[in-house]
Amino acid sequence: MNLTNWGYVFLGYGVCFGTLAAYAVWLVARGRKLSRTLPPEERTWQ
Amino acid sequence: MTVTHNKGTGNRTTRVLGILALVSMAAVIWLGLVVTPPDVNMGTLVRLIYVHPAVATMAYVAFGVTALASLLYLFPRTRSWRWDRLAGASAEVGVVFCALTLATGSIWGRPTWNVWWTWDARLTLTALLCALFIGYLALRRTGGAAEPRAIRCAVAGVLFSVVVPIDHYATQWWRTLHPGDTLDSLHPLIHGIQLWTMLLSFVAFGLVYAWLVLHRTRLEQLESRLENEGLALALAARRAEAAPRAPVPVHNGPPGAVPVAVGSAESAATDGGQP
Repeated sequence: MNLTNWGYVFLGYGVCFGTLAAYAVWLVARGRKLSRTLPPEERTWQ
Repeated sequence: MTVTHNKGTGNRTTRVLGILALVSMAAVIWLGLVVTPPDVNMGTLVRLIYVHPAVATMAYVAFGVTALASLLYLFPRTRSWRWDRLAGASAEVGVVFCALTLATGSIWGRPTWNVWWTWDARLTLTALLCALFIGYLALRRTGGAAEPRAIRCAVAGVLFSVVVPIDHYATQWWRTLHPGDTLDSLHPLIHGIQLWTMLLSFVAFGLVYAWLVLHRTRLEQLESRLENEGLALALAARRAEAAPRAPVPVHNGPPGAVPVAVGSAESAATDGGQP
């Protein structure tokens, strides 16, 4: 792969923030899906 | 009719943390890509330094929290499922940060060292740390009784975390390609806006770590509840299968005759013991 230095910088930022954003979205979506099975009174954090 | 809004694993704390994390992340990206000047030695590539050390530090923090929570679980006086869940959640978030450390380091290494990877002590130990905690996550998903599994995982969490200080001091103990600490407390290698951007990146990734761990811990709680429910259902089904069949009354005789029970325990005993 032949990138300029700015290319490496954007690749690094993209991989880092993109991965964190994807992981955060997955966590929130799975949390919403599973908490539907839980009665509201058992959601101790709310 | 009362409608309860499903907020998932979020609450006010996670919302405040999430907003702070987003704002500080946006500030790091803006300062890192737009405001800060290129470095005399590294040129534009210095901008990766506003991401890579903070991500690596969060991986260390995450594995440290796993070790601490595992120890608290192992002590009988402090044993609680909350520590087991925190250890598991922090380990998973730590693996994400550790993988990002390897990825961003590799992206910085390619234009700097001309290779994506080299078997340098720091790099190798970071890869080993990542592999060990992937193994830890696999151990958490093994079957069997919950408590012995949690104890095994706690022991593994403490043992694997020993690699963290070795990895951190690798650049001092061995001759490595990897640069030493950029934020040496006595002689920092960067100053001014570059230093402040880097410090802000530690705060921003720290907030992201806290937000992710809070959500992941609650998700662990939901998953273990589902696992217990699934286990209870499976046990009930197994018991129902193993129980003797209820007798089925058969009425072949003349009107008024007593029906004969077929498939009862008594008849099973006489026809070869099949239930």
